[in-house]
Amino acid sequence: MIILVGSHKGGVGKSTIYIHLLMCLILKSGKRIAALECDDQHSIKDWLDDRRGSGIMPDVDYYECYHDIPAMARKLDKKYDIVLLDAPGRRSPEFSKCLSVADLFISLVDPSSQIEINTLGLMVADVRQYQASVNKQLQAVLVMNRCDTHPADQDASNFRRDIEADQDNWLPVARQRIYQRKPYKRAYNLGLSVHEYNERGVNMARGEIELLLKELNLLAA
Amino acid sequence: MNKRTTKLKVSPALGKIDETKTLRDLVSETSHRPASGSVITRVNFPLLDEDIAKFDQYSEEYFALRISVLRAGLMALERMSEDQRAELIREAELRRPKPGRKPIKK
Repeated sequence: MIILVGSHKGGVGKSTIYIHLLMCLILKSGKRIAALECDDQHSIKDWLDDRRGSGIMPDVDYYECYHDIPAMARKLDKKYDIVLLDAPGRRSPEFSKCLSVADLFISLVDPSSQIEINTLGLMVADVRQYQASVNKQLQAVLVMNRCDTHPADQDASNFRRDIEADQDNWLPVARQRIYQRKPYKRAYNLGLSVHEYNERGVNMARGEIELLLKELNLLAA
Repeated sequence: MNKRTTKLKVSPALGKIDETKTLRDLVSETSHRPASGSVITRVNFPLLDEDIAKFDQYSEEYFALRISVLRAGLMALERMSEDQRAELIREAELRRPKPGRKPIKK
């Protein structure tokens, strides 16, 4: 299975959440997992270099490809159970190639950020275009990221309600949210994932990642 | 805290889905090549070594490309009166180098 974590916009937390999803799958699923970086900013490689430099185990089966991405992804798909693609955070040829070969596309959005929401319209149109032409099996899901932890905040609920009221024009939204929590960033900074990092509040982050993967049927319930 | 500040905006592209598009079409739509790249035409013409030296001299003095020196020459012609321009071009035409093999001294 080929899974793309991507967005039409940079800075949505794509690479940060990518490494937590990747490590959760490696540690918890029992499946063979490969990371394929297609973003020449090398955010995953930088994190992995820190990890390898600190001698943190387990290692990650990491690959890079920036040109013939579909061929590379399909080749890895034969060897691994899940290939996790990291695409550039912009509408680019690399992103297009990833979208053409992915079985599942996970896109992150901060439901309180209009600047991020503004990029969703064209991204949804692109997903529909790929589903209609070159990748008929493509499934896509929006994941609300950096949600406010304040109990009175309604932005995430409102965002989801608006999308569900107009499903023909939007992509489904995952029920599980990712909240704004420091352990996500702090673990990344140390070459770790939230499943390998200990700090107050990290259990909440671990739970969010696991529940999201269970909701997407990538982790056994 | 509960005041709505965001709204969804549906893209007009959603109404233009084309089932016949290929991956090549889709990838090329996302390549951001400069528009000017598609309008230039490469030409090849003979120059003397001293012409090339002049090009390089102006190019180095003003930190410009050779093609900018050539364009500056065309702009200078544009700014002249028709008579001056005709006279100068005629002069250049008469001094035009004749390409080909050098005559053999017998």
